[in-house]
Amino acid sequence: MHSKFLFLAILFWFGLTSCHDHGDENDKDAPVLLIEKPADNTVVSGKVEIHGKVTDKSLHELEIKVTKDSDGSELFKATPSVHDKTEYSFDEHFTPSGLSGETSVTLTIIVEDHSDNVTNKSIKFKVKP
Amino acid sequence: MVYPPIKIIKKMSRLILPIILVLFALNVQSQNFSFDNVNFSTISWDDFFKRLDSSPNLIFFDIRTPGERADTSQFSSYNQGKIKGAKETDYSDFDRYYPEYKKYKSDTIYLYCSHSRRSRRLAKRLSDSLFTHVVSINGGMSYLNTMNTLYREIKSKHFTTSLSYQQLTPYEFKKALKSKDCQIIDVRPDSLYYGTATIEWQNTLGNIKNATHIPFDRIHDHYHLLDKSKRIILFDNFNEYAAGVADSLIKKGYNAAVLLFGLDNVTTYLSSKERKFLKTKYKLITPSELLINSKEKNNIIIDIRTVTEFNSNDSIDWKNVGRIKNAINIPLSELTREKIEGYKTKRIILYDIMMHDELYDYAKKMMEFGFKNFELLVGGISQVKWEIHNAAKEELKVLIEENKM
Repeated sequence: MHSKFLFLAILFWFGLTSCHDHGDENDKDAPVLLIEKPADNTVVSGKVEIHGKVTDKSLHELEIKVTKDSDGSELFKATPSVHDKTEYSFDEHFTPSGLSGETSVTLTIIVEDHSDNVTNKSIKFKVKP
Repeated sequence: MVYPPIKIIKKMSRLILPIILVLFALNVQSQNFSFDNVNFSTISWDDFFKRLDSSPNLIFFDIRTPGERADTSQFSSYNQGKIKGAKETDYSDFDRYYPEYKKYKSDTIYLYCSHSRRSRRLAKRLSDSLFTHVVSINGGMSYLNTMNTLYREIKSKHFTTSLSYQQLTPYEFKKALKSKDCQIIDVRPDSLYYGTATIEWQNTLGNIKNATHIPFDRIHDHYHLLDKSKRIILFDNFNEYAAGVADSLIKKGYNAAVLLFGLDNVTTYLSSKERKFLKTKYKLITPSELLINSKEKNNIIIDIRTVTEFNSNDSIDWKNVGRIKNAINIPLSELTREKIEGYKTKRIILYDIMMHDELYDYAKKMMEFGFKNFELLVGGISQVKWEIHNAAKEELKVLIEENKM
């Protein structure tokens, strides 16, 4: 009787702990995205540097984009290869051209992992030619 | 006198303990590849093509995005051609395509994607939905293309691509370096070429002596440097720039090709002896080389991760991936000259989970301490595991010590 009870208790325990599945299917965590540069609401003259890091169990896609606020046109875009990486530090830069004066822009970074978890962050800043 | 609890344990031991051990084993093997050949099967490209040749009605799905299949994805490294005859779905739109999968619920169905990451997930999901037999093709299109030399004949029959340029494997790239009919162009931005990027890992893939450096965004000013009578071979670190340049050169009448997945693929698939043409910032060692050298007494393998990661009890679950056998743990935060001084005469191999920034910080520190004789394990412990499960390198299993409970 005791042994049956003990056996069932052990089975129950293993059932519970096995449910804590470390496998890919239960990955509910969105990628962690840290943008170091540029800072929100700053004014950048000349070369724009975009620095940061993303971490996740299994990265899939990363898109880095800078657009003009006035008309949404694209000033810069990069799609570095992050596939299956667990960490990716990005270091992109560009020098905007064709701007007549101080221009309001938005940096948007979208990162997606293999479980369709998406992290999307935007930084608003200004660029000066 | 035998106490009742001991009686129970004795009774249990014959039947229950083996069951517990099995449950225990199932419970601990819960990492990335743990469902392989348990919930679903896996197969190599070689075996898949053999089956396809003998059964032309084989049911197989290309589960990548439409853009990847059409070679028009904005993520250029995902544009890798496709296999003719595949049923086309999209991993990201499971609900839409489930009825399509369901038609073949009682059949054997094969799945492929770009790196066999998505195909594994879908295989698990379908097998959990009582599909009879789901098979994920190991390595996906990236591995098929990287191993082009092995699969060339069979691939030419089943493979098709809309790409205007050819993608060279590391082996083909190596051959091209020696060919008088090829011109080798390094299209990386200045910071990556000169190794001055602020992020250290971007500086580590090194340079090729005979390559001409023309940054991708200045190619239009340098057409005069390109020889139209030769095949132009373009490369960068991860094929982020070369694909776009190849496309534009082809439109201008050049014969252009790119190094598939850039120099990163060269360091991953060619041993240090095979890639002497590439001077990397730090010495790199592949998992297979580590295996060959693992029995040398003068080796010391240092795991640079945190203590919790090393012991597989980190609060972030995906960081608990086991460790390399016989490795010692000296985390970056504990690295001091005194701590490492005793290993100066040893051949040191450093590794982490997947060559994170900390590994390069560690390498820099080692250099500052006067160490020159150390190597970094390419792709970290993740690469060792990837090769075991995707490249049929079962022999590498001896390198891994799985999670401790």
